[in-house]
Amino acid sequence: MARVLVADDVPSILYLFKEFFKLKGFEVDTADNGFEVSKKLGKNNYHLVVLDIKMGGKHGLEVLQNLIERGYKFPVIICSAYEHLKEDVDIIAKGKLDVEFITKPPDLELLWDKVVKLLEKNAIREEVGKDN
Amino acid sequence: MQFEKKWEKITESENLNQLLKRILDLSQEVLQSEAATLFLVDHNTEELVFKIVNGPEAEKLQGKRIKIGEGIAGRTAREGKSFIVNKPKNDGYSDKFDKQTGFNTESLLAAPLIIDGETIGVIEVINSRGGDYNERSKEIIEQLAAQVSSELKMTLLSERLSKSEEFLNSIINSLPGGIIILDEKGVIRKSNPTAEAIFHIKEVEGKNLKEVIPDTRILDNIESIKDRGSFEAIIRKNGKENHLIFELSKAKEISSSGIEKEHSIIQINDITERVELNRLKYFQEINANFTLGLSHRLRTPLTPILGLSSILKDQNDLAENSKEMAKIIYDSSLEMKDMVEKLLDIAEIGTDKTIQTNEKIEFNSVLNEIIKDFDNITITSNVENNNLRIYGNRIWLVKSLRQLFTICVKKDSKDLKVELEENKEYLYLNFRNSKSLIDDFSALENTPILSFDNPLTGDSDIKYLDIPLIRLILNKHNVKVTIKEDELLLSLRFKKTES
Repeated sequence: MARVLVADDVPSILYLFKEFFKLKGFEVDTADNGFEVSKKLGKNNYHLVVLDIKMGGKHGLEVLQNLIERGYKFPVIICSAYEHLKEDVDIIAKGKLDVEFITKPPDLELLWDKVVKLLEKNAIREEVGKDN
Repeated sequence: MQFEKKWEKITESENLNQLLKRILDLSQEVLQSEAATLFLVDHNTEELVFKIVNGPEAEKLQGKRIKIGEGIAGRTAREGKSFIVNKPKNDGYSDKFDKQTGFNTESLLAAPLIIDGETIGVIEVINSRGGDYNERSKEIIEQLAAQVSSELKMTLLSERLSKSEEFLNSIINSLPGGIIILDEKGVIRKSNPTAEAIFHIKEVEGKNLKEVIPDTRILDNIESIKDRGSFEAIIRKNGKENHLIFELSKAKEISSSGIEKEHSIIQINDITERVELNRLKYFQEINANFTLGLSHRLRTPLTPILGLSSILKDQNDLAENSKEMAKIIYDSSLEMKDMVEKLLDIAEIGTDKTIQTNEKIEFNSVLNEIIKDFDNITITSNVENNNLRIYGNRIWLVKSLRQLFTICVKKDSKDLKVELEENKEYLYLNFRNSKSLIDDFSALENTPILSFDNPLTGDSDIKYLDIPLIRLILNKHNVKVTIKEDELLLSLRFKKTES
């Protein structure tokens, strides 16, 4: 079963993502601040991470930076109300990590399209990796 | 003595020509001569001009010219010294003008007019009636010539000065700010129309500053600054506040007698518009930042409302009426999302973050991009030039025009006609027969941007959010909106650029 880690400091948003990914057949883990994200990433393997940017503890962009530094390769979806931060995300992640940006409130169909796209891309990469 | 008294009289005359004429009359009288001429040098042609001529053949000679060096007067000018000639035919005299006029020159006395070492003319008397011209005659004419030169110098200087003063006046009068110049006693020497308009004053020269500016705080400030400095003050005019900046400086004047006088110069700049603009910008920014913040904050609670209702409405195991309720919540939150997006647009326009670019836009490409989404709209056009360009921000122009088309299509697509017209300077995009669009624009003619209520019914009505936004964007693009209700015509006028 695919595993996803969802991080947001608003409980109702966390609940939404939890229900959404459960319905799509994921095993869902949640974090309500940036520190918890780092902690959970150290202990578990995920196929996907969904990150808010402005949250308590560690800023989402800082978390993203840490993921890259620690060599994680799983895809990330950034979901934020602040559309202008997309540029910063692109600068940080370009060529290093597969990241998609989606503005709050997200259209769930669009969100799902992005998830599928990212996972397929990642699966292909994993397949290629196995062959080598 | 008699001569000196007469000289005093002469110096009183103001006009240069009159002065020269009087000098010549005096020379002729004192030296008991039949005729007299005053020549002035024309440096451009190296000639002497018969400026003023006294004598029987005066009219024939007036304005004539002789070369410098030619005849006695010409030699006087060239050599810069006086000549007594009592037997002209033996002394290199040119009888050219005698032949022309029939006059008979028997004796002649000429002296140069010299200013700062440069000969500027010659004074000449002819035919002494009291015997030959002698050394005394020469002394008199030289003295006269010296005085003439000095007077000419003064006159020239004063002419130059008056021209400088005229120039200075024209500068002061054309300055955008107000200027008041005071002498040492605080009496107004000069003011310009701007200063007069600021204080509602007229003909103030010679008056004391206190009579003209009754505001004691301003006077106290001027008094306390004395030399140089500036201060701000507010005066009330017609119930309106005017913000003024006073700047004080000093200027020295040296009079002809060499006395030094110090003048105070008060410059007054009306900065009311700048102050109001800054205030407006400040409030606009607060308003925009608030709206921007609001838009972002609304997105957070909207996320679970929209998301969860979206999940619920498609849940198969839910009762039909519950699914129906979820669907209503979902649709309402979609509408709310749309509003939040527009709030963001409005806020961004308010902070001028978005419309700062002013690029050249190909209008046809903008229209083509928009109308491809609207199957039922055709645009009739009298536009021949395919390379029509306007200035603006393409993204925002497309955004606002797309919204305009959307509103039209929603409401009036049946009879709607869209026309594109042009003349030399402007491009017109006309919406014809779109009654409700015209009603919306008319109703919101003077409505502030962030009004969500229908001003006619008082009901909350989302459609009114679109029009102020479009108006604001069009306004930022300097597009003139004209509404003709009797023709049901909404016309947008764009200024064309040179290709």
